[in-house]
Amino acid sequence: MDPVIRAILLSWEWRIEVLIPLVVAGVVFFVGWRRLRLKGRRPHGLANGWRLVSYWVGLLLIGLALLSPIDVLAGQLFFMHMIQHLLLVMIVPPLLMLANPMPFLLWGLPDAVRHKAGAALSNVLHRKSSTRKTLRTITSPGVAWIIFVFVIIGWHDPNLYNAALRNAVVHDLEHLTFFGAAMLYWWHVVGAGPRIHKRFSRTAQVMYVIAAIPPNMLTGIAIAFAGQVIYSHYLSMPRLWGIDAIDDQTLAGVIMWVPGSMMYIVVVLILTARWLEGEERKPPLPASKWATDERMAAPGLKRR
Amino acid sequence: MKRLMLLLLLITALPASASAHGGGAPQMVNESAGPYWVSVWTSPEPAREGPLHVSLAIAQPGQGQEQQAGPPVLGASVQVTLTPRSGGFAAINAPATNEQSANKLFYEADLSIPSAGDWTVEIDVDGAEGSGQARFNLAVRPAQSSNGLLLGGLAFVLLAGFFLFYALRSRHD
Repeated sequence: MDPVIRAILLSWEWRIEVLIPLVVAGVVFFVGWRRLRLKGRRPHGLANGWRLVSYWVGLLLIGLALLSPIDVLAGQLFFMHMIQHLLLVMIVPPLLMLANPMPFLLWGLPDAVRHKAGAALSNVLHRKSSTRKTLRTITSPGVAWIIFVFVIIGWHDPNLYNAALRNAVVHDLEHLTFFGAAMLYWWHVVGAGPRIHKRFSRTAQVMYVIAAIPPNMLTGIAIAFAGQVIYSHYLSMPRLWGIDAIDDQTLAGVIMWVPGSMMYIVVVLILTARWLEGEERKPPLPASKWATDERMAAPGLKRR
Repeated sequence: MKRLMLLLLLITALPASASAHGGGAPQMVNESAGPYWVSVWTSPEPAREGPLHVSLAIAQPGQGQEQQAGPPVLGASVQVTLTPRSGGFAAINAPATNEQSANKLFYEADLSIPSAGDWTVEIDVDGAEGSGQARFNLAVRPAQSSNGLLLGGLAFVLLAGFFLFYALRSRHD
């Protein structure tokens, strides 16, 4: 095997501060999922098999993004860093949110802890609680969208980006804010619990997703066509496979621009398909509602 | 349960990974060392009395106008030597290897600096293409008495505590 490929494949970093939360979250979710499945009256109720798969795949992808050669190479190849960010911002959060993790994580705790956690949560999310009102305001869809866009664009500032590549704590902070902002954003799209906001209408849901495309697309285009290396850190790196720093940057920008934007478009298509499916499921209107003389007239004609 | 939570918090706050993850302060970028180009990063930033983590990229010389490094050189023998510029302490050295590095395309070494002051860092590379040497000066500050990460963590815990207190109070209001 080529020694460079071999070195890359061996470049895993088993970071205990990432591994332990992932394993704990995976186990707690499974225990809660199993308990709720055994309690459920319907075999395919809340504790669906696909929820478990969705959550576990989400956690596995976090591990892949933060522990595998993807993370190790992120400091060397900008396009690899972009793939890592896409995983943390566009793939993992929707997968975790689709699983609706809150009830499963609560039920996965030991009984005494669950009761305390449940009580604390109900205190915070109680209808009359002022904390709930504050939370509703600071996590409203508009605020979530602004935070999401601000975080994505803000971290691409050359000074911040270079600082993240230079300092491990800043790098971790970058990933945490990316992930946190994305979880907040996708929470509104998916509608997972806790539900403290008004439910989105289908149209609003679609518009909310579409509204995230232009900032992402424009940032990707700006990076792809910059013409000179924006992040000086990559100039000091040994180049792999003959990809120089400017080609690497163009590739990273294109990844953000095309597959990054495609992710939103796929979500819009899924939402639209679900919307149409819902329309099909509605019972047909009785003939008395529509088969009247007035309604049968051609549009624009008045029956006299 | 409280003990378990405390243990988890401590593990999460472990700064150990900080030395292995992320580049550190660039000390040399694409400097010539015989038939190789060498880039060196050190952490913590700034360097202080105590542990010093050194990351090195050894590459084939670059071509073209951009002067970017060529492909990485693997399996070379790399030695890092620190010598105090004013004397008083013996030189310290350690091998830098691909195996020690999370990124196996890099070389890493861990040393312990016994004293603050000006030090010379010498990098010796011996590989299939021949051998080379590069050096740079490193200003080392006295050891830090407080840990910024720990203080940040403490501030976060206090903030979370205030939030919880506020949340619990709001129910009674």
